Amino acid sequence: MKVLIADDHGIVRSGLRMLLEQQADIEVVGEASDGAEARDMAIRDRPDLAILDVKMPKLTGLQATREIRTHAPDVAILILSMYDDERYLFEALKAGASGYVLKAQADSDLLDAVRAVERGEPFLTPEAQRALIQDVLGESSNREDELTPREQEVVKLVAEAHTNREIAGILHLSEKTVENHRSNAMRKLGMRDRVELVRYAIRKGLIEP
Amino acid sequence: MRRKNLLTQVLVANLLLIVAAVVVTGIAGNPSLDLSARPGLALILAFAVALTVLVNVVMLQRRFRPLERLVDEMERVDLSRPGSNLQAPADARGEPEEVERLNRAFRRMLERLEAERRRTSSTALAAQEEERARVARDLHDEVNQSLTALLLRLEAARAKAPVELAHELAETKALANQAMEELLMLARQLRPTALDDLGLKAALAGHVKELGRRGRINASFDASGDFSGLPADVQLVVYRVAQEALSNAAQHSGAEHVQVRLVREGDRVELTVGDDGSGFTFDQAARGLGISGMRERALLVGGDMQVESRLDSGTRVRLTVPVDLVDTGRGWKRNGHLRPRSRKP
Repeated sequence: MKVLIADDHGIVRSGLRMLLEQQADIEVVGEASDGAEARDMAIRDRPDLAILDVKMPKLTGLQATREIRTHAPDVAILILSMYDDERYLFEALKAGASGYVLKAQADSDLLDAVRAVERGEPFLTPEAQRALIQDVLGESSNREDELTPREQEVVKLVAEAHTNREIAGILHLSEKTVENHRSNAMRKLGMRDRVELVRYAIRKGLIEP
Repeated sequence: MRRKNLLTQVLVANLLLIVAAVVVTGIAGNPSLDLSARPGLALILAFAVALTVLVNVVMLQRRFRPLERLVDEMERVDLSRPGSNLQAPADARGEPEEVERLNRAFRRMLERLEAERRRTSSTALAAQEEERARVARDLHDEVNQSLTALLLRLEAARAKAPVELAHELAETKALANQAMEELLMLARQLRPTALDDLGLKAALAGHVKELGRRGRINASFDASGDFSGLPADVQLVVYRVAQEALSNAAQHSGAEHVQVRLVREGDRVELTVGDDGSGFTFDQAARGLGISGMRERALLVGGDMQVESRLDSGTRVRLTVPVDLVDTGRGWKRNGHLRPRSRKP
């Protein structure tokens, strides 16, 4: 089984590699230190599985997941996260991840999750299942003026102080399209400048403060 | 030696002057006058002196009364309740010019002090919030990543380790797990990211739930009203006051139940935290239940905080914050600190 790992912390990557490579049938074929790199490598190298940290520069793990699922649907994805917050879990599943593993439980859950994905099954901890059930039973939230995934990607990169040209390069879009997404996002959020956008991106967990 | 008060000093001086005047004009100016021969005149003189002194006392006391009132007022000033100090006395008219100037100067100084104090505590609190956020981030992003790596490596080592080490390694892993959980909890307390992400109501509900889960106390939460448009500084203050009150209830009161209520009614938000614990005396409160800190925070958003506590009948903290309906000011993030907001009249 070929696995790609992506985390912006080198020590976590090396820990992951160490644990995974102990399994005779698992081979770590690449390491990425940000979301955009992870997406490019996943689409180019087509591993069986990509393990992505939820918070990374350039593209978050969730954004990279969406892109990879679109362009390389045969690559399964596991999200690795520090946050036991259910919203991240829901977003990860919506984006197309097969599982959500907490870093605090990575020692016991990671290999189980990898094996589940290998069998073509989703992986959720009992707590995650409970949260999901509660969400399904509870009322659905209203999100009419939510940004599209593409707009969110642009917002993150704008907030990280990339120029339109750079954003176009990272997302493989034309500059004009980037500008459109950017102004659509600003309009939807009712914002006038980058400062407000940065604040929004921090609040939404798109970038680190 | 005891310091004489001003009134006595002036009276004594006046008395000496009067007696001296009488002696100089009545006796020294007329050496042939023999008072012992004319007891009637001596009596009249003595009476005149006494009367003058009496009138003097009454008049001086009246003149000095505004000063005494001002001194009393100065002693009563409580800077933690701004606004209550500045009412002008009802009978200010007819006071001597100097007293009135003193009065005015005092009030001006008080206003400056209150403003300065608001500014200082606002800056201090904002710095504290910033520092907490930074520490939380470091715990979360740096320390916890190292612990994650540690966990993963321990798990990897476990597979290769000889059997006799397996137990020890599992224990070590459990310790690392526990450290991570504790760090995450600490980070959440330091900087409730839920407040930024989900808003006051959800963040507070989460905090109460977490408190109940830890099992020390039975905590319940209910809210009514719309909290979506609340300014960030108001949300932060209400959250911090609730957090402090809950921590007091859980750690010091011995209460079994604590109830948190959050109500939005028109232009104000009201938070009530009530427990059924043992209450506290004001001596205990002075020894750091964080009540003055809570009051400070309340002041920053023009809020008012009341604490009722009687021994054996529990404690009730009530915070009321006016919400400016026009100003949705996301202010404190924009300029980096909590803005002191003026009290509503």
